[in-house]
Amino acid sequence: MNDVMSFVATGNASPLLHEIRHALAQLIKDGSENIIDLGAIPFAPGDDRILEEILGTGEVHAVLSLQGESHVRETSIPGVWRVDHLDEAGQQQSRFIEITFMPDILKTQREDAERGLETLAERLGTLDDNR
Amino acid sequence: MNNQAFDLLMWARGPGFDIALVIFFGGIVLRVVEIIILGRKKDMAPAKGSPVAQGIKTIFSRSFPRPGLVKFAPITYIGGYIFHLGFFIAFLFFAPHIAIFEDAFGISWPNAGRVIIESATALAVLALIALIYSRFTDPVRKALTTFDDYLVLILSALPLITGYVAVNKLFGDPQMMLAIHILCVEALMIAFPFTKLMHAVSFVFARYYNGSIQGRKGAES
Amino acid sequence: MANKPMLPELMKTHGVSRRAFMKYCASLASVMALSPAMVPRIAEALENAKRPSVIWLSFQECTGCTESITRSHAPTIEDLIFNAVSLDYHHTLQAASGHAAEAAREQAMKENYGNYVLIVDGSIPLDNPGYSCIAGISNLDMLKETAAGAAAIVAVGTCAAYGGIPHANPNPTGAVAVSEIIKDKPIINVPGCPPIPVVMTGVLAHFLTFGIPELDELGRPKAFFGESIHDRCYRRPFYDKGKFAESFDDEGARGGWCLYKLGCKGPTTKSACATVKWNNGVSFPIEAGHPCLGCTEPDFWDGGGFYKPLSVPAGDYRKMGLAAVAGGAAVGVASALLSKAGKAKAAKAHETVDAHDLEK
Repeated sequence: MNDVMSFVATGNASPLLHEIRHALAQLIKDGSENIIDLGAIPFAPGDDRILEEILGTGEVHAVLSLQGESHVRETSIPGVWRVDHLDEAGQQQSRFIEITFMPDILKTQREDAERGLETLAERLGTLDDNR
Repeated sequence: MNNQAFDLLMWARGPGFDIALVIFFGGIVLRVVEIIILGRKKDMAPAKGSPVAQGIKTIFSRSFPRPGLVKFAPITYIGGYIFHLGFFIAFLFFAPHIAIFEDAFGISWPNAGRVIIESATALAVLALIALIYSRFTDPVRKALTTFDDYLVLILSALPLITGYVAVNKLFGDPQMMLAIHILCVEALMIAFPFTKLMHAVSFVFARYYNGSIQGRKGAES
Repeated sequence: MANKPMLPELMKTHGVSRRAFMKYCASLASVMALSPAMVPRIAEALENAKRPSVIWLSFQECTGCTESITRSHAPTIEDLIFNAVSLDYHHTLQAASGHAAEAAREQAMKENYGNYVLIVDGSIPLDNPGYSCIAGISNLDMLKETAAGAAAIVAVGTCAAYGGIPHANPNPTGAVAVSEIIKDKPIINVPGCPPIPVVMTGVLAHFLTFGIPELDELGRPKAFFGESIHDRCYRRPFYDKGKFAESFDDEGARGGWCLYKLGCKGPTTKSACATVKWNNGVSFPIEAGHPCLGCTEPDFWDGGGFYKPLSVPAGDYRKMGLAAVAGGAAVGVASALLSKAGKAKAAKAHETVDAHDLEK
């Protein structure tokens, strides 16, 4: 059944891939980034199969633990990243394709770093107290 | 809050259909019974050929035009064939329509895919346009045409067009367009017994009578 | 306490990183069908959103909507927002009862007059307002009183939005929707029986951050109710190819074929079930093998039957058809005999016929 379903396609994979190509050209030209929401387009298992075949897997796979897992993968086309968010139960929450040199979500956020500084100060304080 | 489109749809599927059905079936049965009871004047001369056999044969043989007639009136014949075939394919082989027969009579048959149905619909509508055009442009036909002819052409086209629009969601609210499609079909059903649409039933009698009259005389039909 | 920016503090207390918050905003944008470019605006709006007072009134309802909205399986940011609104009155979720509960409602109304959000589930009986009362106050009176000071009203569930099951034939209580009674406040209808949890919280999140979303002609947010099930259904290729399941659990049904012939109302139903799905994206009725009921549409209970295909007439037409045949035959016989009698009379009187008579 899965084999059959993986051939049910809407024909949306090809225009999407051309959009990605165009966005990657833009990234190289002037550094402008693009995010494509896969949830916004009707996508059937067949289209996913085509996407997998053309984009493939690359060198980077980051697993984030953020209220459920998030998987950030660079595809075998450098500059084209897939960001898949899962919820606490492991169910798919949202899927994006980011054309960028570094997806924002991988970077540390300033507010988190500020909180990190407070936490580190606290922990060092405890460490020093216990000497 | 009411959804007016939904209310119209439920009326079309409910009282609207009931009214149309009563007029449709009642009217057809009424006229067929009249035809049978009124019958024909008895021909006292001895029969030269076989009236019954030729009558029945003529019911089927008249489905094909006599040699030379297609060349004489190509639009009428070719347009007529395309329209009838297209209409029947779109009507009888589209699964939601088969569901109606299934619900009413418990019978069902295989359905065709959307490509076939839509092509048949489009061709039927084009044929109708050609037929109405030939009625307008040919002076003899124009003189012969009555209100009945135009009405029937339009009423036959509307279900095809509105059905195509509804299934493909070309425009309008889906519920409203489906309601309009069903109402157009009901209009066709109501007009049926009062117009030349009756030919769909009476053609059997007309062809039989013609065939048997000629058969009795020993002539060709 | 209402009216303080809620999120930054809540995130700190619950150890939610900004990165997790970004993930949430991205997913929320996707669910609300907003472009990824909107994510920074959503983040900003959510961070600055104030904690509003929410009063939830339950009228003639089955509590399914409450059950649905509380089906967040684990702490999510949606949960945070929902739990973080100052839910000042809710029959099922509040701790207080009796006079204390009503006092809490009245106090919240007074303190936040003009600014609180009123959520309603259940329909309101009009035939005899006494049919449904809370603390001796009829639904009708409580709705009018509470709506007067509300900033906006969210009618959750098909009962509050359109009347729902109490409104179905023969409507013994004279049940009506919220919008039939309140005419002077903005009303957002979030129908469904029940609505999808994430649709309810998504609408609330949108309202709290951006205000009232764009609504269609039935008052539903276009972000969630703009597309029909049929146009987003994964079984659509089978519909187009003409492959239909003929009965439950037959070969076609097991092959995942289209459920039109089993009564699916997908073509005329606008809802997000086919894309957002249920139980956090696990499945939805059609995927589970059951035809869509059309539960986000008004009067779906009276739609001719859940298992009657959309194309099939909904009335008792078989009887009418048989009556028509019998009647037609009878009238046909009478009319024919009358004509024959007339013909016989004319023949006897030696009447003549000319061409003009044939045109009659």
